[in-house]
Amino acid sequence: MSQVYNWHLGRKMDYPFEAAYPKRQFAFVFNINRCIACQTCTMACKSTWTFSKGQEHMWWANVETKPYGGYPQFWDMKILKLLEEADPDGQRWTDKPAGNSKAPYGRFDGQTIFEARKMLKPGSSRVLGYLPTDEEWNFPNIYEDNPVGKKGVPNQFDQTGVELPVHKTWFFYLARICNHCTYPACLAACPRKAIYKRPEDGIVLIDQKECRGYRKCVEACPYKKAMYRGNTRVTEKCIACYPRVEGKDPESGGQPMETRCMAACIGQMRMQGLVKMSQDGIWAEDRHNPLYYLVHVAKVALPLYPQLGTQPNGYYIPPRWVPRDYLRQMFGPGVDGAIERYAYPDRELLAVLQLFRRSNLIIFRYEIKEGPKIYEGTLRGHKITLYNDTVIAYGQNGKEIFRTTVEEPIYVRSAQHANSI
Amino acid sequence: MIEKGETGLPVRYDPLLIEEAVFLALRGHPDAKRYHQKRDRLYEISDPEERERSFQNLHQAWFSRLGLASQIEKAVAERHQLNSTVKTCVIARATSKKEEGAELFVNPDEGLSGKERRNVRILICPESFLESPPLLLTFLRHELQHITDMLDPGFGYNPALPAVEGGPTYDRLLQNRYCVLWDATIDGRMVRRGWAPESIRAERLNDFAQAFPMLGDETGQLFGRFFDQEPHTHAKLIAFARDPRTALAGSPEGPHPGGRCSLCRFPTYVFEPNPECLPAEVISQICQDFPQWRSDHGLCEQCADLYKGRTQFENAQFPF
Ligand code: SF4
Ligand code: SF4
Ligand code: SF4
Ligand SMILES: [Zn+2]
Repeated sequence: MSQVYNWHLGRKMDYPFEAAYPKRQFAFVFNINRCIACQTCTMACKSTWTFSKGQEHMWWANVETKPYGGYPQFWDMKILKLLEEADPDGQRWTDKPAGNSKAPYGRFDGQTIFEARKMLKPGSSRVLGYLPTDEEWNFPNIYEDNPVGKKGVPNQFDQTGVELPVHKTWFFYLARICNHCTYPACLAACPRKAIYKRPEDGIVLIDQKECRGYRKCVEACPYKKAMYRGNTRVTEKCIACYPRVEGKDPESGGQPMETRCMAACIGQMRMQGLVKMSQDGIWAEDRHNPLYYLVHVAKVALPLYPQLGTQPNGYYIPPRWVPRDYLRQMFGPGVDGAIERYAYPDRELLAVLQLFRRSNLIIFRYEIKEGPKIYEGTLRGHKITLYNDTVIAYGQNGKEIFRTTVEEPIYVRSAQHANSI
Repeated sequence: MIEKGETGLPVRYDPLLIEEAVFLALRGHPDAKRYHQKRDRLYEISDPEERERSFQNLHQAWFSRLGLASQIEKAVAERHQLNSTVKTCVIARATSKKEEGAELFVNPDEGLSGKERRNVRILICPESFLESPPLLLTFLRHELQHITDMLDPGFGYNPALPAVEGGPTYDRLLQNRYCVLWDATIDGRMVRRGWAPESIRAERLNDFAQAFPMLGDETGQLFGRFFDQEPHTHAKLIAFARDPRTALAGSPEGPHPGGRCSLCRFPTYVFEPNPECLPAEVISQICQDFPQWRSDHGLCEQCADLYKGRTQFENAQFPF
């Protein structure tokens, strides 16, 4: 075991391999507040990559209703439970979320899936995990829209309107793909070294020629995003639509392009990028990269179950209406601050939030041109001022991709077409 | 499909089930390494058919070597009646525990002999091979008893359950009750043969009590007729499932809890207590709609209310 630095945990941790970081890292931000579970992303992926025989139960992209739903069923509860058994009562964070990007969420003092020594018998796995049954894989959208009711009152919803900060009756949609983790558990577990992380963009791939169907990765990936295919007897996973990210899609004009599931998002809740890495495994400062801004400056986007230890590269703006203890378990101690800043966004955040899904090309940099004040008022006791700023997105080649404003443009149809669509 | 079974009923295994069962059985097993060494090489066979065949042969060999077939072979061998009545028994992969079970398939081609037309299919989850042995064996014995009953002329099985008055909900109710009764007779027989623990009685009794909540104090005694006695016939199970009271008493239908209202035909537990004491006007209203009706046929409270209401309405003085 070597020691690697995991900035999500604010500390070093055990990992079976030496640390090695890509130049840039595939990463994404999903704004849960905007997802409507239309499953367009799910189908965009399926119709591109997993429509063949033997892939019937394979959904590299999926959207599940939390807290009851899950694909495979109960994946998160199961791994959290195993960790709890490994380290009873020890899965805790200390220190408060701080300003520094080496430990933005404080320090996690519990055990990761690589460290749960009590449960890792020598000679067996290198990673704590479990193998889901067919049954658990078979119902990708089980418990869709099933809410949690009021505590202790079964079959009863809130009869009257409710107000933020939290709802007593609640659910939310969690969209998931492979997190192309910085310390992939799938890679760590593979006895044949068939899984690799690309040095140019950190995308994690399974070499289909090397895989021999041991399914150690399926067992080890805590997010259950490696999936075994029975008819070819090899495991497959999300490939981050790498031809698009490489700019090989004919539509891209040679520029890096966002993945299928991102581009298809109806709720405009997804943004994907390639963030700059520095050689200590921390994101290199890149102040005007939108993902860097959302994760490290505004700190509104948080990793999914950081305590598992893989340093996943998917980040989520947590849902405002969900009880905080649930969210803290899912996204770590940064939740309260993230929700506070998202609910009462400052001038820059409001502008950056406009960048989601205005183009399918990957945004490498943004710039804000200040506009006039358009609103002033109070919201739940907070003073709110809105400016109609213009935000401009630039691609890898430094060229402008698009520009948009905070205030949505209003189009007035000509009288001739006033009532047509 | 891979064939097994030298004598008696041929058993064919779904290669997918075998492969998965072997894979699961070898996790953490001392022989896992040897198995994988052999299996890894097969990926390199370039001809797809030959590769597939080689995989299947390897999995089959390890399936036997690990003794995974033993419970199935034992359960099938016990049912020598099936040799003369069924062509093959196919063991395939279930995708969920709920799906596990045995089914009899009958080919509609009347040109074939009875035996040629019949096949048994048993669905099992791969994980079930790894449960402590008696579980799978008990399960298979129970399932094969269903098949044996179906093929027993004395039992007189008929796959189409009779249509029930009241629509699809009642069809399902009948089906559910029928299954509860049949399972009780099977597990009763299993206990007497020493194939199931005594404790199973309580489980079946619980199912029975839930399926027939109207039996009240008599539940335990009536349950015994199914669990503790044999033989049974399909027809008698159906009759009891449809209408336990009538089936027991052989008595003509009359108003009894759980019976049907003679007017609206819905089952009810609340009959009008003294229909003969209804006002004459109400009775005459009923007889306008149901000329054959007599007060000893009874009626439910809702129907009684309806006709009382109608009489009141007709007698009412309206100011307009
Ligand atoms: S999410 Fe799972 S499959 Fe994807 S890189 Fe991380 S450990 Fe591997
Ligand atoms: S990035 Fe591409 S391969 Fe991965 S889930 Fe999205 S659409 Fe599927
Ligand atoms: S397409 Fe977007 S809005 Fe629709 S389910 Fe997927 S993530 Fe949610
Ligand atoms: Zn009635």
